[in-house]
Amino acid sequence: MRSLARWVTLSVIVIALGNTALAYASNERYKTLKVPQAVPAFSLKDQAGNDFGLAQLHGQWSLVFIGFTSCPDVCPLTLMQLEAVRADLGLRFTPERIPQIIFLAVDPARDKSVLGKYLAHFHPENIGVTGEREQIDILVKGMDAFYRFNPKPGSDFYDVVHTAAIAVIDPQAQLVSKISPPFKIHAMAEYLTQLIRQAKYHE
Amino acid sequence: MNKIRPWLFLLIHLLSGLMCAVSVTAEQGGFSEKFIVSNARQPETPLQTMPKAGYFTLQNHSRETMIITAISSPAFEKVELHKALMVDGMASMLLLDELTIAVGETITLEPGGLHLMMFNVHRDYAVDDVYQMTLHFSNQTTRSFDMRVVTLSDKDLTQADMAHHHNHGHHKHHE
Repeated sequence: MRSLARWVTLSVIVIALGNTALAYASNERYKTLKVPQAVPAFSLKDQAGNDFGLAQLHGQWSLVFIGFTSCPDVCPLTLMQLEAVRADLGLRFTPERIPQIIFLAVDPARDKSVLGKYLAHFHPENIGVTGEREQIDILVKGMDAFYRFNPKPGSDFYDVVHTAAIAVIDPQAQLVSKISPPFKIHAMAEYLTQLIRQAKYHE
Repeated sequence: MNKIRPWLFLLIHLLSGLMCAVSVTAEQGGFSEKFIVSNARQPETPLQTMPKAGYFTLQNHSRETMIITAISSPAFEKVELHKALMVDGMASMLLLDELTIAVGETITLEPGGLHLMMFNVHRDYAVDDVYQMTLHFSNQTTRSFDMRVVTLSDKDLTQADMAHHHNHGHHKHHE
């Protein structure tokens, strides 16, 4: 009996230490907002030319990240990583609770005409949104994010410096969390699972 | 002396031929074996007109530090060396002027880290197509190899996780 008690105590300590480590990791890479921030109203278009605004954020979880189609390295990688996260979450949740992946294209001059083909290359369900600069900026601000164009002297390429974090928006269209790179697929899926389950508990 | 002269003539010929052979080997095969380029690949892009990224691994087994000062390919109008950066939560790209590979060093170009950026492809390339890429070094030598068009794989995703923790060697960025 005493041996059983000892094992139970040990298990509790191990679990507590594990939770502490998880909480520490969360602070580093997964920033859950203490108070969710309502995303302001914005008006953009998706890759098919349909309206995309607050209404399209309501009722579903969303993972939004800033990118541009002429980015051949980080953006395709992030899209693939998010796809892997979505596949992982697909094993845990019913489809209506799996987050939609939204690529906010902040370089409309180059992005608008190719956005559909660009995203379809990775997954047909990916959503790409872009539009007027002023409207893009509203959503970027709502994500507590930032971007600016960065021309390279002597290069044909101009970079877009932007917030690397992925914004997590809940089904009430509120920014609830920001996930910073490097993106670990399994850890991200675990974190999002906790976030989505806790939200359901509070509903 | 007259008897020796033809033999001497033949010996000089043989020696000069041998020296030529050694010289060619050093320039081609010998150097290639000491500076290894492996796993050279370019993920396919949604549209041919988009800039493309290139990845490979460099191993310097030669006796001298190798400095890449330029990269070219007959398949593209321009090839640059870039590094994805993450500073204070902001993602950006650094254009590098050169890349130094020290003696015995291995440098990996991979998604989310060091990579080639290739502009204005001259014709369409499909998955498994191959084109030539050439590294130009500060010691005036070059090293050419084949780049293969691939689909970005799960392995690349795993490598990208690691990319942020690797030392990518010494490099100078564009001022």
